[in-house]
Amino acid sequence: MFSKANLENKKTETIIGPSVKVEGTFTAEGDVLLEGEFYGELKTKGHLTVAESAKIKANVEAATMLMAGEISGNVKCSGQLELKASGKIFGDVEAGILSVETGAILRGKCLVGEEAKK
Amino acid sequence: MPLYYYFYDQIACRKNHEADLRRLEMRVIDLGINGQCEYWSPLINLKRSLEEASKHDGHTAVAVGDDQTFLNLAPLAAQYNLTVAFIPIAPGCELARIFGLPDLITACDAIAKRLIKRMDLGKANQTYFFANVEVPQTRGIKVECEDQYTVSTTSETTKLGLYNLANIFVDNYELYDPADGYLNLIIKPGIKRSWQKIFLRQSEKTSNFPIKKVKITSGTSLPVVLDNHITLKTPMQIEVKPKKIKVIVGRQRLI
Repeated sequence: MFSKANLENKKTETIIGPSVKVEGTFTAEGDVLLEGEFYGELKTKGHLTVAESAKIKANVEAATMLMAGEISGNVKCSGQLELKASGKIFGDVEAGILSVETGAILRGKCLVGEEAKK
Repeated sequence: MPLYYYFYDQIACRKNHEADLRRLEMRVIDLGINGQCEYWSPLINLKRSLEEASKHDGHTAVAVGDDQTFLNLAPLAAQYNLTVAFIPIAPGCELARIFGLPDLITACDAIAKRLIKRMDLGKANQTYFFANVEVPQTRGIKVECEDQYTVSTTSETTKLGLYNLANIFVDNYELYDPADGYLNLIIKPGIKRSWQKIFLRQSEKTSNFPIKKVKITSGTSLPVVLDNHITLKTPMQIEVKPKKIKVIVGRQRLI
């Protein structure tokens, strides 16, 4: 349980649990797992995972993203954005690579490819 | 003047540790790391002793006792720029295990080798802490992080803590990196009834925010416990002081 490797894995990982609500401007260096509610603006240089239970009303920016919850706001992702079947985005999307599963909802403008990475 | 100052806690002076203390004294003499001994009691002003040590070119303050002895001494010693070491006397010291100093002989050897690791300290208002801060009651609490965002919870029985290292006084504690320049704000959903333990544990995840600064406020003043021994009251500003403390560690350390 207490190994050096475990400690390194945990470094700068933010977890916003299902019973937690965050409001404001949130900037992270590492990976973020969001299962609760978020209002404001969210930026991370790492990977963002939005779980099925998550509700976001914010503009979101991440390096890569796995999206299974609901976002009302614009999404910018320099790498891959993976939209799962349960995922809902109500806003514009810019992504380097976009993959959308059957059943996902995306209502907004969509810019994918090299242009979006800029 | 001595360079090493040994602070013996009352637990170390109990009769059942007499043999251990004799072994310790012989070992420090053999290794040439003997110094001044201070016997800790409610009548001793620890701050004044550390100030004296610092004035007289002392460079290392050694806590001789149990985990709580180290937690009491370390944040104070760091303020006087003293390197801190730990010699565990009582069995089952968690900090000793984390620092790679499982017994008093290994600890003495580590002090002689002087393998030093710089670690962060937390500062709650004007008081420093090493391991953790616990907020036992969270009703009506407001948490503002980095002057940028607020964190609130929908669960009534939430447990809230800030960790530089860990709360070593609970079972199955989580260990955090005390040298990463962050404190970890941990929010755990509380469990009211035993059946909830079975059904909710899987779904209710602990929240973790690596932060540098947090403000905790509440309508009525609530207690906040630092390192399991200092109780302060809200409102409170807590921040990390990176690399503020020098700790002597062993080769088998976990951090």
